[in-house]
Amino acid sequence: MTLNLPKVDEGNKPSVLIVDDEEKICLLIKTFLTQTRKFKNIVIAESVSVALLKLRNEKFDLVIIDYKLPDKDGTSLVDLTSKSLQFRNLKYLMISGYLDGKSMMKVIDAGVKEVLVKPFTRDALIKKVSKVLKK
Amino acid sequence: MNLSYLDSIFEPIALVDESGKLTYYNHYFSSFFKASPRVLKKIKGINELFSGFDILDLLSKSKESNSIQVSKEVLINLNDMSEYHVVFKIVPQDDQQYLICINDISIEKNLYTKYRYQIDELKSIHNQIIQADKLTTIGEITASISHEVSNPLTIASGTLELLKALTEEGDLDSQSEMINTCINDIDESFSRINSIIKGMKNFLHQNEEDHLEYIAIEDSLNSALNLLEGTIKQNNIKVTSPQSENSIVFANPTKLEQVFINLVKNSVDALSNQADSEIEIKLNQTNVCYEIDFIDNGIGINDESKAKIFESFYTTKDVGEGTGLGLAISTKIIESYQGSIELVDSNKGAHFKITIPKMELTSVSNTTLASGIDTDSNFLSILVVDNEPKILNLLNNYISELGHQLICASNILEAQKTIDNYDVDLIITDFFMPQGNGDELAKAIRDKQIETPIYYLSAKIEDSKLKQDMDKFNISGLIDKPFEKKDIEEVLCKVVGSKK
Repeated sequence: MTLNLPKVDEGNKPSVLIVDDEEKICLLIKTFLTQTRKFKNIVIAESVSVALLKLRNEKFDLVIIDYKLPDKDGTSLVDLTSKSLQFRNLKYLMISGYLDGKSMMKVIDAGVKEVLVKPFTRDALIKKVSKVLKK
Repeated sequence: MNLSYLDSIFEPIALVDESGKLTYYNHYFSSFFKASPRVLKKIKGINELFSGFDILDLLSKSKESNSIQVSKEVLINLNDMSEYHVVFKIVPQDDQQYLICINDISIEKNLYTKYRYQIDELKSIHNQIIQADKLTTIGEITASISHEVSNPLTIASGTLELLKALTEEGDLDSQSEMINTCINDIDESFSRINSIIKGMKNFLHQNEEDHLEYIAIEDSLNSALNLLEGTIKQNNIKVTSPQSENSIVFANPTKLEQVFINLVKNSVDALSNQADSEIEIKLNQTNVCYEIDFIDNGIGINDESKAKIFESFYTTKDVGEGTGLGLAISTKIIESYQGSIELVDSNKGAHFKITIPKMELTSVSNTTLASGIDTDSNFLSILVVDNEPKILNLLNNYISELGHQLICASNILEAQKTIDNYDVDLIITDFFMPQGNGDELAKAIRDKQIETPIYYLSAKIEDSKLKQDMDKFNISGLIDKPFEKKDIEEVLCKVVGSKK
């Protein structure tokens, strides 16, 4: 499966930040995305606070974030960044193993448009990523 | 004898001669046997009135010994086939006659059966409630469990896809390191999932009977914490639990775990909306008991609730979130092991203390209860000293199957205390133990002039050392680990032989 991104030159490829406390899941997502050769920079963070630091240091186009994280839940990052002018073009993809009605509402309220349920396949991940980036 | 008194008694009474022929009967006798005086006059002996018990045999016994004879509880059928539970009593009189008293206990017996049945029913309902409580607990922590499962599942399925892509590329040799990493990752993920599911299954496993075994409190506590790991992580709670040591008690592993889960989960619920939350679990011991403390720094329990928390169906949680059974059931479980759960007064948070008797105490009380019944000379009471629950359980199974009694001790100090207080016929001791080796125990025992046979239990002991101790402390022999039932049987046979 190929990623249907608008044709861009090398400098304009999107960068991705992956936030999950499970390092192996981060690496897995990173491997899947690297294989497509459509991304400039793929960075990993293990918590919301680390993710916020990395967001301030570097420009990203997409955040793939787990719902359940050790310090705060993933929506709190989205809550913060979506209010800031600096990150107004940032896109989000939420991944989670389990979402009940209450937490689903929280995710939608925060402004997340796409959710990926664990366990996911490579194809499902890439489909979602390209969908989010096209919006 | 003034027979007119007997006529006014509400109990069947008769006088018979040596052959069992009626010479007198009171009013109630004829109405009890539903026989008219005409019928009673015709019969040759009292035995013709009912079947199911040989009254003439009891009569001849009474005659031979010239003493009062009382029968056991017997079920007799009258001639109209109606059934009665009765006790016979035969009292020899001066004039070669015998007074036969019949105590009709049918009503009591029926009530007893009825209550027995009702109690069985209550017991089964109680078990169902315990199971329901477990299901509720699992229900409440399902969200975090499914999250726990989905992470390793993602890793396994994703890595599998990577592996597929790698094999399709064909160049396996240059990728062998990568492939190995993938396989290890998948393997590790599956064992993570497996252990989560296993913990859940063990917890939900329904025990038909209350099966007791020797278990280490720490192990039970750890499996409880493993099951709750997701919930604890989600709420950012710091949990400190006791260092691993073998604090062995005689209990049902699932039920003990249920108690621990209930207590920890209560704390987690109290801490859910709070920063810097902490649960501290402490394990201490006194002479006869283990004390397990569960302390959290949550909002605590208010005075109104304090009086009611151990009651069934009392809950402060929202409808649908708690059954209000947790503490009530935990109390029942712990009390069935002669222990207790109490709420300790504290300034902040909640502090529960569980007290469980050490296995030495439990096994001794079991033994003294049972040994009152069995006084066979083939019966041995055996002291086993080992700090591993697995070995104790194995020996307990073998030894009770062979019909002997087992007293357990987890270290040599406990063992010495047991020997001071109780007579045992055989001592089997592990050789290598943290608080002192088997030879120290043997020395202490021989110093007290106790000549009970002692066997070592070890795989690693050297022949020369064994030989030396056999001479020095009169050690009877070695049971090699791993051992089988027949090895134990052999040793027990030898000891029974020498005891005779």
